[in-house]
Amino acid sequence: MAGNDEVKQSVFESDTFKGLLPFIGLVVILGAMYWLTDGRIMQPKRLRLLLSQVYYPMIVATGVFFVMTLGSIDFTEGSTLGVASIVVSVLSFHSIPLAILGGILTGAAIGAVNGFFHVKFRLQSFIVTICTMYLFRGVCAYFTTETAIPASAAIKALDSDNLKIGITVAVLVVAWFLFRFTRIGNDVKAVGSGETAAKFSGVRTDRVKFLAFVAAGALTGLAAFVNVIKVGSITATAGNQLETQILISLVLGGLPITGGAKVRFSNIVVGTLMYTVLNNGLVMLGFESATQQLIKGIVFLIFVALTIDRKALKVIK
Amino acid sequence: MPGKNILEMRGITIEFPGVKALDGVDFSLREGEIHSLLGENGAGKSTLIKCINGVNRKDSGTILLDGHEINPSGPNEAMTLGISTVFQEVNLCPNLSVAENIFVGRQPMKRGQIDWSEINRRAEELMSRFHLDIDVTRPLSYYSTAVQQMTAIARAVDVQAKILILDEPTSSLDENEVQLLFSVMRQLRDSGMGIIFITHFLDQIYAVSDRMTILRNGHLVGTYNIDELGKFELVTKMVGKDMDVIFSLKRANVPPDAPVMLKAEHIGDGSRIDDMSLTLRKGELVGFAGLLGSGRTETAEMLFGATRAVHGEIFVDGEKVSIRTPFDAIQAEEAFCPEDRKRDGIIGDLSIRENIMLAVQSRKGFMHPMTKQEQTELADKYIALLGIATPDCEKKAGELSGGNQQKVILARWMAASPKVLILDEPTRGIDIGAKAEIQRLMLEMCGEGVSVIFISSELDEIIRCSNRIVIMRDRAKVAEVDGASCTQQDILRIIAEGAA
Repeated sequence: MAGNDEVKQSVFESDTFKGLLPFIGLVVILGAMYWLTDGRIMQPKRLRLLLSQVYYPMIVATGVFFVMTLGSIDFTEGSTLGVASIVVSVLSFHSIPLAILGGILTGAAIGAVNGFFHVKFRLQSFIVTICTMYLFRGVCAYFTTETAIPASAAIKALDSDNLKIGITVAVLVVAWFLFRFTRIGNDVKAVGSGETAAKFSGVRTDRVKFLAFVAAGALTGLAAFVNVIKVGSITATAGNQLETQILISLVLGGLPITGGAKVRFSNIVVGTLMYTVLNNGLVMLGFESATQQLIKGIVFLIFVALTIDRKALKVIK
Repeated sequence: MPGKNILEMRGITIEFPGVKALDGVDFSLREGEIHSLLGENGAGKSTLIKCINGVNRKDSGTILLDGHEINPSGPNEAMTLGISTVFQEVNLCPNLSVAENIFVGRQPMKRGQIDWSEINRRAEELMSRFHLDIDVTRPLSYYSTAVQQMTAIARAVDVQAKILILDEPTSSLDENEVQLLFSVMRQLRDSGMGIIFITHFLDQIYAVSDRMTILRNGHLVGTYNIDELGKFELVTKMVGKDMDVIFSLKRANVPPDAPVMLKAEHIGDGSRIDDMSLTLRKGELVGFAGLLGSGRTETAEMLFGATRAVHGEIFVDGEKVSIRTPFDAIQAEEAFCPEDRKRDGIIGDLSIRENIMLAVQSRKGFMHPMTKQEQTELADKYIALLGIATPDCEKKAGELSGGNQQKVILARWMAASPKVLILDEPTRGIDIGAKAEIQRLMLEMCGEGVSVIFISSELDEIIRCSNRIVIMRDRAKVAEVDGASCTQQDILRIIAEGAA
């Protein structure tokens, strides 16, 4: 009977299909790129390059995932990454652990600013974070316009795939555990699907929202460390456009833009991989950047049109 | 003189995954009649309506309109066929004028431009047919819900409707507004329109309809002329079981020396409530009576920390507590079922299990997570205990009927075993059978020593259940009366006159 029903309400509208679509999309994009590049995208050297571009977006996306589950949005990742990278680079001349801590705290502080204005002043998160995005992008530019900020040789020496994979996997596992097995996951989903009801059931909604922004900031700060060991010096464009990349990755991964109970943790991994494969494939195929953007735009549009949950559309908090 | 059938439905069956929402239902509507559609929540009324206006597709059966088979694919097609629906929630644009709302999407044009004077003239004409003399150029939000409802009806009938479906149009109207609506309905009937009317208020059915059709669990019980069936028989047919449950309810037994569980002294929120005092004994049920806006909900929200009391003191079980947020209240072992169940109570996208465990989890704290298995056991226990109609605890709470959603919220709080339970209109908008069950559960909890505050607009259920009744008026307590010895008239007089 269930099968019957799916046929009737059109395959594209069924939840099962929508749940699978991100995975199908990943396979299709991977297959298409494999075919178009005659398999070159799967060469070990290429794969390493591809993976090296996955780490820090995936760490950042994990934090943003919690914010978006609340039904909120965060546009500050790019500028946070820029500012935190500067802090990491400067501190890396003193001590590496200090640099890591500094990066995380810088990110957390920026997240706290976002959360504070969102919660205390009841401002919509996208307004707050667009404002702070400009603010911290300005801070980043102020320090880097004259010359790029170099990082110490010691931190650059850490650049290894094992370390970066290790950090990324650790972040994913911890976040998955928190989301799946602790109250945190339930609370953010409850706030995302019915804020007042959650509040009346004893969920401390203001605290949950504030902490989600702090967590997103802190993880972006950690990502800044991974970014610094890879690039070695920080220019004014560090983290440019990262926020849109993360947003589109999560949406590609199947995360409903309205948040709530329908989010899946796999959204983070699938989405980030899909974005990176598409991005790399287009570079390998030798498209110039204008054409790349055009193709990406078309793919995103098609994908969002296929996956979005129209019933749940409401204003983003 | 009965008119001919304009709508005939035969053997309608609609299946949703796991349930037959309608099973071989026949229904007919005559020209020039008001036909009430009755049944408990989940009986299939809405499904039948949605089948007529094309929102739901039927699995089998035929629909004949004026003798021709139709199969509308959606409300728009139904509308062009002459079937208009006015839904419970008014689906209009509050910022547009009354006239614009009536004609939105089909504005009369003149030389390629919208003909505003024509729109306003025709809107005025329509509204005056309903004896409403209003300025149709004002935004819709300027007017009362009743006028908004009339606007929706005006919009529906102006498209040359033969059939008008009114889905619970009276639930947010006051008595005068209801009468106004009824006169419009009679007028439309006399002009030959067939009207299908859904409501939960039995008196209204008898006041306005010609015939009624009763559904139960997706099956047709029968179609009757209005004078064929008395209220008691009607309710029995709707519920399908004896009404004895309702009449066998017994007030909680509270010894005079029972300890005071909740005491509020001179609390006020600085704006709406100035000075409210209240005591509640262990196992006692105190009813709050009063009109809408009399301060019942405001007091309850303050006691639960949904709004903050800026002065006064609250004691729970003898201890002074500081309640600034719902979280604090839950820590003090209070529980609250809010008035607006859909917005503030149930979280529709979460499963029944997740909804039930929210408050327990909040009580237990972050460091004591419950395993999935514990959660499932807990949810299953309350599903069985409260008789929540669902295949399993993973069903989304939003897909349940109103009465079952209310039971889920009750389960949420029963699981947290509170000392004080505040229920704000727990029985509103749910059917009689579920109402009786909620009242029974409430009294059972009193029997187990929970102290209950029960807010309701229906005086008879307040009187039936309460040990004491607090009567509120103009945002203040005006009297407290004994539940066992007072009558509806007593309470109404106090509400009207303002003193005991």
